Amino acid sequence: MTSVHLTFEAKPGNLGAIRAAAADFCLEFGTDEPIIQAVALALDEAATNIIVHGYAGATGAVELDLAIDGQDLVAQLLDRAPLHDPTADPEPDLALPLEDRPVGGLGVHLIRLNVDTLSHAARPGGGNILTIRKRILTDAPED
Amino acid sequence: MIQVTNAEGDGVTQVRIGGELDADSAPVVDKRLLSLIEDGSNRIAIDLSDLAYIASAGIRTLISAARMARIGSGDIVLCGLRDQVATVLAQSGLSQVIRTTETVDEAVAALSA
Repeated sequence: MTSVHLTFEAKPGNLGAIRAAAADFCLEFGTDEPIIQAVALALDEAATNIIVHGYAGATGAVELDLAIDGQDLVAQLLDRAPLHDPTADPEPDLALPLEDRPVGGLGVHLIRLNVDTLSHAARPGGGNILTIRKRILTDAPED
Repeated sequence: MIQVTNAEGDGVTQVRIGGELDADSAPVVDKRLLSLIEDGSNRIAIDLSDLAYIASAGIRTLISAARMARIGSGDIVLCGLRDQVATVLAQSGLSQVIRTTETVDEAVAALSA
């Protein structure tokens, strides 16, 4: 299994670097652009939640683990923020008119739409592990 | 990055938002849009042709701007959406809620009607 493990200081200014790391990893495998965009968005939203809600201004680190398992990307985001399971958050009601929509929930919704599976676990020693799985490689066409 | 490219021509303000609109860059854009609207420029054509990427923070900025503008009987129209931005707008359930056009001229016309 090919993998990389990166650590970022938990600040919004590092979101671009997190997206770039995800895109670079996928590019190594010749992933199509729309899939790269989906991966970058999902990891951005997950990292944003950790930085903005998890650490909420406190210093900390976001660890990003990227691996290929067969045709799938397996990405993990690890933090030492208070325990919080974003997969348990309610889905936003997108049918509500603009004026009535609640502010929260959109980030996790976008993650779900752009990945195959999303799961959360408590991290040993404190914090969270968010695991995302997405098929990024297609079978090569027969010539 | 956000620029006002044409202040109040024909009663419509043209704004360009470029680069990447995520949780890092959204606060500045949010503040600029809301202050324009508070100052009475509440019909805004937002040119997104230089916007390569948007995340939920950026979507929320656009929702806030649309809400504020509509309170004063104004509106925002987005134009020049690139693939990633159009996709995220649709995934956020906004395709039927915030108007989009191809060109700035069409956006200005939509707001002038």
